[in-house]
Parts: sequence; structure tokens; C-alpha cells
Amino acid sequence: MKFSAWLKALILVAPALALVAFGPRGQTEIPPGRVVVTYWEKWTLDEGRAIKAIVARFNETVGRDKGVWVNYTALGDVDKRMLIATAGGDPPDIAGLSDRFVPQYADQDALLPLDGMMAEHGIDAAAFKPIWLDICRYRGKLYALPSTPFTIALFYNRAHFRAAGLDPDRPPQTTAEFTEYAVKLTRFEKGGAKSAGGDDRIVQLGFTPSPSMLGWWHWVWPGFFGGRLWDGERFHIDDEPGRAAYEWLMDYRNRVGNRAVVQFEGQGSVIESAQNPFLAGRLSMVFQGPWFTKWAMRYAPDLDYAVAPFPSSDPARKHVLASCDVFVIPRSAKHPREAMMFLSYLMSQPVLEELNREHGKVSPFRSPLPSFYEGHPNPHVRVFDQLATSADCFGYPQMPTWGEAWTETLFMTENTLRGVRPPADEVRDAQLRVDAIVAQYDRAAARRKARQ
Amino acid sequence: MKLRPAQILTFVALCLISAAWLLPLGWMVSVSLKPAQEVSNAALLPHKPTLDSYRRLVLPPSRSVVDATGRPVEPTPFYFPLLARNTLIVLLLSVGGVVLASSAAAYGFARIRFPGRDLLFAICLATMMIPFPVLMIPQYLLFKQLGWIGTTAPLWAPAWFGSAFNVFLLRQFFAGIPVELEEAAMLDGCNRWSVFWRIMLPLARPAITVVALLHTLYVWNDLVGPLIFLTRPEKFTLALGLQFLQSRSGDTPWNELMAASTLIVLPVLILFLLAQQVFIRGIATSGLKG
Amino acid sequence: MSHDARHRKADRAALLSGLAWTAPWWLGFLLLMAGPLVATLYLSFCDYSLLEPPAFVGVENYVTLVRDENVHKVLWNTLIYAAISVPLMTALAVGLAILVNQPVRGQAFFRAAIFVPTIVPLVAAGIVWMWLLNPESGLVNETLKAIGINRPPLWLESPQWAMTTLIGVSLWFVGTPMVIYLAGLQEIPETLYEAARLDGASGWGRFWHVTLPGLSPVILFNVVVGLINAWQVFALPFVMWRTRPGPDRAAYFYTTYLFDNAFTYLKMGYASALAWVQLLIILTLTGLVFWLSRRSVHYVGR
Repeated sequence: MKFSAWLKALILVAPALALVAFGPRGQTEIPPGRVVVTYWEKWTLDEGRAIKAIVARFNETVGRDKGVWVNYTALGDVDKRMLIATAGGDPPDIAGLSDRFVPQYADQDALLPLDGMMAEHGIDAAAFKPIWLDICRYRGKLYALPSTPFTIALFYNRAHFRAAGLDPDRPPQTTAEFTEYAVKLTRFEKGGAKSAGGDDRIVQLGFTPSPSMLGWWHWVWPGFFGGRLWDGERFHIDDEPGRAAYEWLMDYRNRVGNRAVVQFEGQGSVIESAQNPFLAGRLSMVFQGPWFTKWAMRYAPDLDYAVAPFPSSDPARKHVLASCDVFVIPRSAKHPREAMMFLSYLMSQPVLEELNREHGKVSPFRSPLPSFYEGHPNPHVRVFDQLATSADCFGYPQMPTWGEAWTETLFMTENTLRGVRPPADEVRDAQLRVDAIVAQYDRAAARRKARQ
Repeated sequence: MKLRPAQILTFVALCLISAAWLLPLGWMVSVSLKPAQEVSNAALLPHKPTLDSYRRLVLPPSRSVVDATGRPVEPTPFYFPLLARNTLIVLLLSVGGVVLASSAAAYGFARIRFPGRDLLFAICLATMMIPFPVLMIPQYLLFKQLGWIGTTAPLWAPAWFGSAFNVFLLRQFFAGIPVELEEAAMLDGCNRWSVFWRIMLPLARPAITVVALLHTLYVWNDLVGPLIFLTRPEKFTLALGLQFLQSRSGDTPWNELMAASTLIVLPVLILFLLAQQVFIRGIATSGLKG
Repeated sequence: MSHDARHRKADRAALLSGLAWTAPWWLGFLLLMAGPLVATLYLSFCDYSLLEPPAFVGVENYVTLVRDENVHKVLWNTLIYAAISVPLMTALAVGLAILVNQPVRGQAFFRAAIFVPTIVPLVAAGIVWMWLLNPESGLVNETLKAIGINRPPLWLESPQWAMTTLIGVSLWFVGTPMVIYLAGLQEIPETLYEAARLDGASGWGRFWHVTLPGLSPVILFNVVVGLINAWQVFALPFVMWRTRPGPDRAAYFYTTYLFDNAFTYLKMGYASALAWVQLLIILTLTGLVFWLSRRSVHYVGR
């Protein structure tokens, strides 16, 4: 090789070797004599800061007294990572999961039931709002503990309300009224470019349930008509509330012209951005969680909006979608007792509320401490917190086959919204498909039971 | 040689193509230079460019500052020097292995007619076709038996057995080298090893460079392997660290995410610029004679 | 008789030598791959949820697979994607490799410019493309509007365009095959070009009679690898549609569905069956490619 070639190679290799030789070496210092509790969690950035502070405090106080050290590790895809490690026989001692995995994992006997240990540690179930522990239960047993709970609410643009002649302090009270509002809030570009089908272009849409623009709760709508997708044995979408919900969604869309709505929805973009249609002032109402306030502050600080419960079909009922991140202890965890020691520390009201305040979520407790609301970053937190007290709160359908049912309802919702077939047909087909999935799972489960 | 119209045409075409290929990257770099307040606007260029994002990712965490409300800023989960060091270690421990093992096996497949060769080669190709998701669990169990979970060994040790992709690639190149050169050397008394070492490897230098380059790229951006096998943050690699700059709840620092991506791209880009000289005819053929 | 014996001895020597040279690969295969592969084959006949021990159920998974509507959909999507993207990618990569092999000013820059997208972390690439393809504010549609196309497509959100968009974006990663072709071009002896020039061959003639045959082993490599990669397309649609299967499942691919079954639906047995069916499909297609190429691939070394 020529000299210049050597020189060039040196330019690249020398810094690399220098970095390897002298570069930073991260390390976790664990004091000797402590039982190490492995804790996998999804939080990084600011959310990571909140939990790390709590873990550090535990390690310095209770942990020191009892000889326990919690080793916090932030990982992506905690659920999949935990699945693989569980299959491999060395799961973490604590994992932070999303609530929707609980029934599936509990049904496969992968989680430790916590009722007994909870009583042992004197954790008072009555101190929590009932919904948050309900979400953590499966077939009567507690398999998880709530970490950061939230409800989903209606965000509406007050300026749009005013412009449409609606009272900005009076959000819609029923689903029927909601449709009237949404129609009034929809504006077209008069005399502008027509869509491919010759419709006027929508410049401001009242509401959209489009899964691509909102979130992962596309399946929620029957809930506002009193429907619950899972009764513990069977899936229900082709019933009175299910059909009513999808008819209701399509009624609004057809009144303003579904083709134009589909065209509008196709413009979806990075939902966490200034181009989000609600934040950009092109969408009047949206069904979102507490983090949406944060996005609004960040991307549209001048937006004049308010937060209210999403209306139900029956004005006397208040159906609310509640969801929650949870802590679980895998059944084959090496140190379940020590893990529970940390979880019971976390379950004390000041600690858990500190975590939720930092995360901008609601309090899982029946009566939040005054300190919880003070300094809470979300100005609308009381609305979200109040929603969780409704007697008609509901969480994810607690079916072990929810992953597949979720996908099927997603396809169904997308197809319905595209308006190809009447909602009743879509709903009926989705029911049959999910029934088949459930039947298949039950067969396999029965076989499993027979073997044991 | 005079400048022909064809050459001018080539030049213009390349300019246009490069511009189109670089445009998305330009946007990435542009966002990385935006201050936090500007990230949300869709303007192509930053109004007040700043290196703040880079500073946060490269400077030691202890030097972090307090934010507007006076709270200490959480150290970045993407601390470039640490992640780059870990990734480099995996790379340095594996790149020699992958080149040597793959080229030896490729030589065997290309040049030695032995019974069962085609079957063995077909199996080699077939291993590329099994999707990794289903191999994950059995391999995890295997590496657990070896006590490798949580270490970087699963990321570099397999490279020393070559990889089907590289074996196939090099086999195709070796098969394109005239067999006469080898026969002449054998008549001169060279054994297979010296033929391989003195003739095949130097002749296939462009291909070997490609193998080393693509392996570097693979190690640099591999997410699945580190995600499954690494459990401690002090061992995390660049691709894994990048995951932590994405928040699910609206805190994603887009400018830092793009700055991190730019930092990931730069070293490999420099490597490429150096390595691409192998693809200049003059040098390639001079290697042949030497 | 003695001739036969000598033959056998030579055969054995060749076998030993062949096995010795290929040892790194087959040792690795035996140690790291064979076990997992057999395990996967066994699991494909099992009901296995990852969380409980596998239980043998015979061919049930394969029967389900044949009837599964999602499998039909993802097979079709994957087939279309492979059939379009592999030839397109091959033509583009060969063309670009020849272009950047010309001795023009700024050669290194052009090579780097086309190669660099392959280095970009996929997460960042996905975000960048989502911004560029945004129907309202994205640069692509802004440009189209500027040149007079009033209703540019909804690239990501329309079922009709999703596949086109994905294939288009995948071409951005042409750098890898291009570099391999570039290395291949260095292998073609200059003397062949000289001879062709003396014979009076035009530029096109030299491409057709020298470059293409010279590159043919490498083209075979890239087509086979491209086919395998196209069948395993997973990450790009994943970042572009954010875990959704795309509008009307237009971006739902075989490996995506396999992954869903393995880690979301906890049907590892079924996923393993999907994997083996995929292996058989790709193996057949690859065999077909090798068979079709047996005349057109020109190995100097044989």
C-alpha cells in the first residue's frame, strides 16, 4: 500500500482505537450485600428522570435497610423483550407493561398473582379508584399494580365553536348532539378545487375517528352506546350498541359527504407534530389523552381549546375509556419478594402521585393529595381525574386474544369509514372473525388444561 | 482524452441524482441544527441554527445544565461516546472474523469440486431465508446456555463463522476470477492456502472491501440483536440508544433524534469515502501486480 | 479398477479439502443455526405460546395457514412487492454503478451521495419520508403542485398508492447493491473492453457483450439476495406506517404478519409454520432464478 493510503487508514482507525481505549465506560455500581431486583421499564427522557429519582430514593432508604437494590433499566419494546426472556427462563423481577398485555400473559400463567403479597404489605385496595385495580385484575385475581393511569377525553376547539355559533362552554352532551355539532363545525372550501369525486374540499372537519390520526383506541365507539366488547367469555360487536356506534359514525360522515371526509383524513401526518390537524386548527374535536395537552403547549401554544367528557348516547350515563401502564412481577422472577418490597414502596400515595404528576398523568387514588394538583403540568388534569370516578368507566377488553381482536376491529373500522359497505355488514363479519379466533384459542386452552 | 458529450451528460445526470438522494438527508441535518423552539415548524432551513443538540449528545452528562424551570436536565439517554465505543468494540471484534471466515468458505464453495458441495451451498443460501423472529427464541436459549446473555458475545462471536450473505457474495466474486492464474501458481508449487492468500484475496480486494463495509454497516445499525441480547445500559449500542430518544408521550426531541442520526451516519460516511478508492481501476489493478 | 480407486481417492481428497475450506461456515451452521432450525421445524407442529411449554398438534398450523385470509393478503402483497421492486432495484443499481464508475469529476462525492442513505438509521429515514410525503406540507407534493399537478396522491394513506410509495422509498436504499456492482465492475478485465473496442463495438455493444456478462455472477447474487430481502420486507413499512398494516392492509407483508403472530398474538407455533412455508417459497423462487440463470451467468473461473 502507498503511504497516502496508510495515512488515510490511520485517520480513521486512530480515533476509533483511541475511543475504545480511553472512551467512557458506563457502569452500574451496586453496593455489596444487596439483593438485586431487575426492573425493566419503557421510560426514558423526562419520564425516565421521574422514575429514576424514585428508584434512587428507595435504594438509599428502604433498600438499604432491607438489603435490596433496584436496578432500573430502560429498554425499548419491554413487552417483547420480557416475552423472550421469560421463554428463555430469566425474566426481570419487575416489568413496566401496558395494561392490554395483562389478560394475555395472566391467562398463560406468566404473571405472579399479587393479592396475597398486597395484603402482606398492607397496601389498601380501597385507597385506589376502583377502575385502576379492575384493569389490573384478570378472572378475579390481581396480576398487576397501576403505575401511570389516564383517561381519554374530548378536546374541542373553542374558537371553532364560537365561529360556528356554538357555546364554547357547553360541549356536546349526547352522541346525537355530538353529530349536530360536528356537522356545524365542518366547513368546505367554496369554489375551490373539487375532489376527484367532484365534492367540495373540507377545510375544517368537525371530528374524525380515523385510526391513522388518533390513537390505538379505534375500537372504543360501541362503549359510548353502552356496549362492552368482552363479557369474560364472548366478544360482542354485532349487537345493539356495536351496530348503533358504527351507524352513528357513518351518519355524521354521510351528512357532510364521506368521500370528502376520507380525502381529508388521508392527509394524516406525524400525529405528534404541529401538522396534527387539531393543533393546526383544521379539526374541531378530537378524542385524546392527557399527553395531548403537552403537545398543544409545545406545538400550538395559542390554541384556544377545552377538555370535556366524551358524550354517551344516554345522557344519564357517562362512559369513559380508562387505561393504565402497570407493574407486573413475572412468575419465574428470581426475587419476587424483594420486587414486591419495591412495589409496595411505589404504591404509597405520595410516591405514586409524584410519579404521575411528573408524567402528567392522573392519580390512581380515590382522593388525591392537594400536592398532586399543585404543580401538575397539565392544567386540565382534574377533568381527566374526575372521569375515572364515573361508574361507567371501562378499560381494554380483558380477553387473552385481544391482540388479534384489536387488529380485526382495526381493519373493520377502516373499511367501514371508507364507506364501501354498510356498517351492519362490516360489524357482522368482524364478529364472525373474532368469534373464530376466540373459539380457536379456547380449543387450545382446553387442550392445555387437559394435559396438565 | 477529450471531453466527450457523453461525459458531460454523465456528470449532469449524476448531479441531479445525487441531489435527489441527498435531499431527505439534508432535511435530517437541517432539523438537527434547529433549536427546540423551531423544531415544530416545517421550514426547510433552520432560522437560527445551533449545535445545541450535538453538544447534548456528545458532552459528558455531568456537564448538563438546568432547564428553564431550574430543574436539572435529565442526562441524554443517547450519550454518543459511550454508545459509539460499545458499537466499535463489537465491530472490531467481528470484522476480521467475518472477512476471513466468509472468504475461506467462499473459496471452498467457488473453487473446490467436492461431493455434496452444491447441497451444502444450497443449505447455506437457505439459512438466509429463515426469518429471524422464529430463530430468536432457540438462539436466545443457546446463548443462555453459553452464559452470553447480557454480554456483547452474541453480537460478535457468530461473525467468526462467516455469514451466508458474505459467503455467497464472495463466492460469486471468486468464481469470476480466471482459474488460469491459480493453476499457474499451483504448478509453481504453491499450495491452496498460499493461492488463496497471495492470489485470491488480493484480486478480490474490491469485494472484500464491500464485505467489510457492509458488515460495518450491519453492526452499526443492527437493532434486533442488541435489543434481545443486551440488558445493561453500559453495554448498549448506537441503534439501541437511538430508540431511547423516541418518547411515546410527546417529548420526542426531534432535533436531538436527527442529530443522533447524523452522528451515526458520519463515521461510516468517512469510512466509505476512504474505502471507495478501492473501486478506482488504477489502484485495483496495481494490487494485482503487487 | 485401479483407475476407479484413484478416482475415489481424489474424490476423498477433494471432499476433505472442500470440507476444510468451508469449515467456518458449516461449523457455525452446526453450532448456531442447525439446532434453532430444527427447533423451529418442530415448533411449527406445535401449539406454543412462548409462555408455556410447546405441545404437539400435528399439521394443524399448516391447515390453518392455508385457510387464513390474512395469509392470502400478505402473500399477495409480498409477491407484488418482490416482483416489482427486485427488477427495478437491479436495473437502477447496475445503471448507477456504471455511472459512478465513469471517470468524472467528483466521482467520490457522487458515490457517497447515493450510498449514504443506506447508513441512515431506519427510524430517522422513516420520519424524514413521512415529512416529505405529507400530502399537505410535504416537499414532494409541494413540488408536484408547483409543476401543475393539482391533486397529488395521498402517498401513505391511500390504499391505491401505498405499495407504489413503499417501492419508491425502498429505491432510496439502492446504495448497497450499487456498491456491490461497483466492486464487480472492477473485476472485469480492461483487456476485454480493449478487444471490444478494436472490434468496433459501440458503447451499447460493450455494455451488452462485456459489462453484463462480466457482472452476471454479481447480478445473480443481488437478484437472489434482493428476492430474499423483498420477501422479508419488514422494517421499512413498520417505520412508515407506524406499526399499522397500512390503509386497507396495503402495507401488510408476510414477515410483518409472522412477527405479529409470534410476539403479539403469542402464536409461535403458527409463526414457525409461516416461516417454513416462507422458506419453501423463497427456496423455490431462488431455485428458479438459478435455473433460469444457468446459461446467462458467465463465470470466467470455470
